[in-house]
Amino acid sequence: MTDRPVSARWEPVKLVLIAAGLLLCILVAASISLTNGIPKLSMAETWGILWGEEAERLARLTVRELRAPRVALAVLSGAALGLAGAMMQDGLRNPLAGPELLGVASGASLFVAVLTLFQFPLRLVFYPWVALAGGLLAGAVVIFAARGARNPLQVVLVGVAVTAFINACIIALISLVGTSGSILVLFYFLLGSLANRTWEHVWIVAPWIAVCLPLGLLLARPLNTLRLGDFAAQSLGMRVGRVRTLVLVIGAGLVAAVVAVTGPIGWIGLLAPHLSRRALRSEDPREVLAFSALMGAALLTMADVGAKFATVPAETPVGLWTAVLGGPVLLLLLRDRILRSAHERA
Amino acid sequence: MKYAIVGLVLLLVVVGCSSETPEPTSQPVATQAPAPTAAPAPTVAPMDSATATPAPTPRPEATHTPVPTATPATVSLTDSTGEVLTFTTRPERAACLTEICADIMAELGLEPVAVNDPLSSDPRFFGSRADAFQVIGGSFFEPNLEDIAAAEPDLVFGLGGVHDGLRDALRPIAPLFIVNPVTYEDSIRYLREIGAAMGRPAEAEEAVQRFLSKLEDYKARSPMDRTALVMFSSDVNFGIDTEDALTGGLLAEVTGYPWPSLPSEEGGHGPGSTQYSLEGVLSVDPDVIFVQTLAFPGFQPPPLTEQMAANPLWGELKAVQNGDVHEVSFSLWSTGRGTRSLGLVLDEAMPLLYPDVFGN
Repeated sequence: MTDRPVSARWEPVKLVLIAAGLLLCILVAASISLTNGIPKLSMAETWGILWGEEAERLARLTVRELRAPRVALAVLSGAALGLAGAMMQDGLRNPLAGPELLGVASGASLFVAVLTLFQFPLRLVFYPWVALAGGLLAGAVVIFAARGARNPLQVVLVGVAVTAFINACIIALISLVGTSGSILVLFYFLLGSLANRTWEHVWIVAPWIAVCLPLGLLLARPLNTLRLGDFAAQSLGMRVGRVRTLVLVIGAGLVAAVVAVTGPIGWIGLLAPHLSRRALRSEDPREVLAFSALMGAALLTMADVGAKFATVPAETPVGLWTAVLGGPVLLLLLRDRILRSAHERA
Repeated sequence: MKYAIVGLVLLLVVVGCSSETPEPTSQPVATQAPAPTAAPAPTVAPMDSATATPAPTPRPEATHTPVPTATPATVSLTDSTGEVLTFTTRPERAACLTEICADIMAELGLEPVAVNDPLSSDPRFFGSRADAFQVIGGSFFEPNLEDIAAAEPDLVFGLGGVHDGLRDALRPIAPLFIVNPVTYEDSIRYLREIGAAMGRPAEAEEAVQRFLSKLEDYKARSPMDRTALVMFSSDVNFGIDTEDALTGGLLAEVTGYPWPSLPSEEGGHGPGSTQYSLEGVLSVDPDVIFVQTLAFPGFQPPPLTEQMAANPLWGELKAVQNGDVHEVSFSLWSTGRGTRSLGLVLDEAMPLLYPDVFGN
């Protein structure tokens, strides 16, 4: 993240256009997702079914009970991951920070994986709390271990180490007690998918996002101050440690809810903030946070279209798509950023 | 120094010659025949096989080794990776890292010397004798090699894509035979090959014919007017067997199985199984669903039917409404892969599919 001065410029037209563009992407992806599949429906038929018109049983069931919640979950999960990523990047002043590299997603995944594998008698509605515990634990370990680190890269390195440790725990789980059958449960979970989720899953995620999303957006102002540097922020009266703790807790809350019902979906949290900053040409968290949430929603909804239709009626996990497409895009963005920084220095 | 080198070279020559020196035997030489798909002839004939070809008269050669009174007896097996396993003595002690091994042993009237799979404990295979089998520790993916060595096997069965990496580690213990059956014809071929190699071609052939006649009988009597589905895993991340899967392909021969092959068919327990959409299941709305609940050892999750019950769409399926969703064993239906398992799958499936025809 370059140390550009805090942007106070607001360009309403540009912001509206970008927001409209992202909303259009979500709408197009949602329309494709809602109308296509088995059975294939026209937009008018789909719209009618959504508004309660009578329709053939299969069409009614698939649109209302499968396709609509899937789109809703994609929008909510993408927004949660996008916002969590932007908060963590700004909070730690590190462009590589994110749920994946800070161990938050891995910690949440490990805890839910253990729940899933061993089938502890816990209702699905409590899964996000378990995921939150895992995410917070891993994130806290990273923050604690990286305390005093002056270079943002050191925080990422600690995060990578913690993530590697958690992944090793998952491998150990497979290696020690896995059988050819049981391992499929874990395998499917770890791929991350939105397939076959219903309104029940949406209602599990929704309250978490309803609480954590506004709280996350409220952190935009302190995060903007934090861009001046820890010392400057402290001199302005900000309690840096408390802000970072809030970033971790709220970010973990957003990620935990998503992981609990979809499994780990990577790269959205890393990619959405970068794409938002590039589109906005701004580093200001007061703009970036909200747009990152919108960008995350657009990215995940579009990725899920690919996941759903690449091999219809088979399902390819959306986590696979976000990883395959997100990795190279992030590399290109970072490369571009490095070149621009070098150019500015020259 | 040079004497040492000469001595070492001589030693290597002697060792090399002695390792190639065959043990005299009166047994006929085994021959490797082309792998048939349905023909009853075994692909490999063992030493004392009734179908083995007589050994050709040894050609006198200019060699310092004494000419044996009979040619050496060797048995060769080629596994699914193309690895050729050669045995100078007939393999008799099989260690099983995958279920089809236990299946084959049961069909041949033999017993594995060590197992690491749950199928063996199914009483329909070895009865209560399975309680005495040595268990290979570790996991399915990382079996304990010391346990395998302690069983002193002369042949170890592994599964393609899982145990291939164990070959070098197992080399000092016993050759690794990798299997990867995709169709029941593959299962038959493995049974014949192993039966021939282990000196049980008659038992193998009898088992093959028993399975084939059972299949033919079900095919002949099946009304073929109901559709079935095999699904597994958990409530949201579930997979199905398409007709390219071993069990799916078998069921497709005896009943309606409208789950055609798909491009992404490596997302499950083996070839032909894949993650699937409930939308796709709803569109077909099969008459009978066979579900397999997957569990870690020692844990008993709620049956998949219970897990699925929370999904409002599950109850919309015809099979659910008619009480035609049946829990079946994953190890038998999906990882058994042998002729006995597949025969038992048919025995379980057909009365549930067509109770009027095959019910008791």
